[in-house]
Amino acid sequence: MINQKGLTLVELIIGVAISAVVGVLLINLVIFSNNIFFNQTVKVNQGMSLNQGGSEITDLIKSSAGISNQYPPTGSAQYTADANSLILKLPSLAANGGIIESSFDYAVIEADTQAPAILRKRVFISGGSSRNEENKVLATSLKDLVLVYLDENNNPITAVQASRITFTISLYDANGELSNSSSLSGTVNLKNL
Amino acid sequence: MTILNFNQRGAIFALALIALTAVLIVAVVLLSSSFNYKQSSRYSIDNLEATTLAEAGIDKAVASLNKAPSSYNGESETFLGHGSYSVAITTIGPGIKQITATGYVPDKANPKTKSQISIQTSQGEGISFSYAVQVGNGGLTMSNNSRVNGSIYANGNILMDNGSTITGDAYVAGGTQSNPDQQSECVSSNCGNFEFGKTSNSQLDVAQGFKPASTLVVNKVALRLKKIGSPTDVQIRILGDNNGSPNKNNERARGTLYANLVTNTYGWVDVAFTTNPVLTANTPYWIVVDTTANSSNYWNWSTDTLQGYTAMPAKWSANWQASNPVWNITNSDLDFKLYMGGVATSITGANNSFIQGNAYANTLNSLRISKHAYYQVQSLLTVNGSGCTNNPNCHPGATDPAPLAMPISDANIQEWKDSAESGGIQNGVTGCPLTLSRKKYVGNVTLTNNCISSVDAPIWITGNLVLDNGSQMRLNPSYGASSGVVIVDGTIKLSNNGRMAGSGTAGSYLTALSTYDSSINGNYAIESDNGSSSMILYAGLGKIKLSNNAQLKEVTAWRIEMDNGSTVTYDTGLSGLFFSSGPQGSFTVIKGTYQLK
Repeated sequence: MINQKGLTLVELIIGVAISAVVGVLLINLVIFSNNIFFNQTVKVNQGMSLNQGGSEITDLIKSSAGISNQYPPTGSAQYTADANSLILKLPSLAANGGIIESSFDYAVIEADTQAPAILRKRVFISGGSSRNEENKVLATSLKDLVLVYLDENNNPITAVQASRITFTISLYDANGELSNSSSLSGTVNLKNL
Repeated sequence: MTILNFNQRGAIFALALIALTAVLIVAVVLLSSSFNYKQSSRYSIDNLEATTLAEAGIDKAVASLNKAPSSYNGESETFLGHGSYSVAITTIGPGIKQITATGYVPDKANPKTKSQISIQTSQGEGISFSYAVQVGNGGLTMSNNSRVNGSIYANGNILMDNGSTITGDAYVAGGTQSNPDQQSECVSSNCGNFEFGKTSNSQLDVAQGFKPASTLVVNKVALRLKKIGSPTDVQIRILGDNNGSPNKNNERARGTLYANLVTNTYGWVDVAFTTNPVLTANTPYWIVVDTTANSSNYWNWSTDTLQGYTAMPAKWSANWQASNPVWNITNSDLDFKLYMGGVATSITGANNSFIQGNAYANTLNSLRISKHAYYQVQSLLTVNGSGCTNNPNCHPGATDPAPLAMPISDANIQEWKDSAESGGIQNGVTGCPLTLSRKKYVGNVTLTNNCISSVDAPIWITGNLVLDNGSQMRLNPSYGASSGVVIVDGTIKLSNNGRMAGSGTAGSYLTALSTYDSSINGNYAIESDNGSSSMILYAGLGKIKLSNNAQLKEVTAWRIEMDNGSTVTYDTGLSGLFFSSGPQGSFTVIKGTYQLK
């Protein structure tokens, strides 16, 4: 078996070195792609949540007939309006879709008290309203919801006196050392005041 | 001994393949979600554009209605920017239209997104005639088979005779004293201006103190106000006193100040209270007006800067209902008149006079009533077929109905006069004019011998008006469903089929309004007979006489006399009548009707 040849030590070292380099490169590639995957997935999810949540809040504010200090509007407060909680008075809707005079449904938008990272929209209806009750998650990575109540001249004012509202939704996700933040801000007039 | 197999390949390739596959999967997933994100963002933007297009459609529709109310009926599809909008107009009441606008991106045929908005608009100045006949303190007399098809509200007595009939309910309010018990009114050089309801945390709630001279029920107040923009109705309260300021825990009476009775120039506006409690003489009370802040729609109250009313001051507060409200002195008196009641009023019948609905008055005498009778004193009643002994349809001890304010204020009339005068001034009218354009006509106007004249309302005649022998004033057809008014400072005589008519569209009326004060010499402000038909007559200070089969739709006056088969037949549309200051009367959005669908 004169033709049988082994690897020289040098060949072995070179082979191991090449394998190590290639392996490290591959591992880096996988880690890098994982980071990109996390960042891009979070950005996409946050962006879609902001699109949807911002649109729903904008439509609710536009349709609103005012801000309520609390819900229920009288008696013991289950929800209270402040810089982080929005309570909107919505004209109640008759069966034919028309507005019922002097009757209101209420929408509450705030961080879930049990799970603060969830931005939740709740709609409570009055007796005769045909509007649907809702309990809906608008975002799952809420950092904070900030509300500024304004008068017609853009001066800050108490919630119940506001004729327009500036809202800012901030979202935040983290995974180990990786994190990503996004936010959306808008100013909307109450059209039914 | 180790045998080497030269056919074995290195594991690196397999590892690289796995790693590259993972990267590829990541890339595909990322591309896919990025595409979804792009789609979501695109949809959000398109949806926002569709909503904006619908709002543009609403703005266009309101502007078009104001430009050409009779010819604008919406639009099928109008392209604008990245999309289009359509507009539908629906008339849902006299002078009220619903506008529904839909925005499409990119177009109506193949929309990626669409958004629909609806609002309601009202035209001109709305006046509500809620009763077939409304009478002031002068009262109503009905005789010789005169008839009211509808209900009556009177602040003075009703006297019925000889087969006269009311088919609806008849109310007679507790009587109001003819002169104010308390008042403050500035003279021109000392008149000031108190602005309120404009700025938050400032002058929102305003109060004028007073001490009544008599211990009597309070019936109404009159306030001298003007409005800036279009504020909404506000509540007026009578509150007790708490150490020189209004006592929020002692509300004595409440009424509504109807914003449509107030104009942008100062005028007296009556506010009647829903209940009429007794106020004690020489005891301090407060008239409190409660508003909310609106920088473009607010109020002004005329003031006496000399503070001639010494009994009590005027004050303002940012919130009269706060736990400890702060009241600030105004350094001027607010113009007001306080009217007390306590005058017993009645409905008295004779010779088969008949009320087919309910009757409400302090005193009911000699009447046949089909339904229920509410009174404190009665005699000779037949209620639901029997007398009032053990009759469940008789209600002794009932509270007197509260007085009702006139549906048109002095300020409304002045605004119409100003509108007419802005069209020009003409001395006299001769012959038979084909058109009476919006103007102030100085002197008398007499149309006879079947003269038919088209009217661009409002017009203001400073003298007397006579329509005789089939002559007519007709509202210009371009007014559509809106109504108009002819204001006459003197008297109005409608005889021998002389009459006024609306535009020809259902719900349109031309109202004859006289500002003549019959208390001066007892003359009639308006006389209507012989076939004068389908009109609204109004004389807030005057007497109206209806005779010889006159047929009217609604009559309101300080005093009314009906005779010889005259009939008033109420039209339900009169509860929401819209007057236009001109053929191109202004449509404005009714607050609270915006709907995003």
